[in-house]
Amino acid sequence: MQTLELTPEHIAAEKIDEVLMRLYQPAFLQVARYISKHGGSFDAARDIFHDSLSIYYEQYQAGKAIESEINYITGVAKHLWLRQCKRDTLQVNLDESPSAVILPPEPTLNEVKLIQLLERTGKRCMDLLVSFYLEKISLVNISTLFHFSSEHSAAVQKYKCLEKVRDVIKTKSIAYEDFFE
Amino acid sequence: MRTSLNEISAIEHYLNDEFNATEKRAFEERMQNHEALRLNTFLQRKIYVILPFYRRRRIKERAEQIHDHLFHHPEHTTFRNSILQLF
Repeated sequence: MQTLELTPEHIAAEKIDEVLMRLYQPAFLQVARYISKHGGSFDAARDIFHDSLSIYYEQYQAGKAIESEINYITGVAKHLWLRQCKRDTLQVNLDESPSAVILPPEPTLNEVKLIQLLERTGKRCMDLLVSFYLEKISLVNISTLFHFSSEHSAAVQKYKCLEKVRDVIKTKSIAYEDFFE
Repeated sequence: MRTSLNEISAIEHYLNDEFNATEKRAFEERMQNHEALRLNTFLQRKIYVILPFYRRRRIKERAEQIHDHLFHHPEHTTFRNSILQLF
């Protein structure tokens, strides 16, 4: 019998999929209604919705108490849409309060550049670090998922990844001062 | 572990506030005297800061794939039409 090999990407994608698939249709409908009512296009609704979903997942994974998932996602979308309208100096009806949702921090431009660089040069390490620090997957499970020989080996690899990512930042000559924004 | 990895481990303990008062003071004194340790601590903190932003991009990639599936497969026609009629 053929055995399908589970990779870390499969596991992470399954976990994320479970949440995204459950919420995608009802939440997108609500967000799309709001964006269309306030002058946005289908593409704008999709982009704003995907940003909102990713922010929601972050809160969910961190164990933050959220009363209504769909209302939270819509609240985030309203904030993001108003911010985009202000940035693009579009006329929007500001009668409606954008909700009490507080947006988490956005990356700076230099951080975005850094992340794009790491997506090209250090994806496996970044995935390992996300698995450990954010998804809270144990070192035992990480050793299985990433095919390390033991928990100790996974722990060492985690530090090697921190070293590698740090060195990528250094060697690509991203100025030290750039980060003091 | 290699010395450099031990240093990374120590930086992690420091950033997570896992040192006792004596260890913390000793680490901060070492930082004052070693520019490389200061820089490495700064960069390691930066890695922890950008990890959530990296994950957001991965989640958005997945959301795009789900979107493409929902808008290109006939079994989701009802959902697709209910969205498209809004625009």
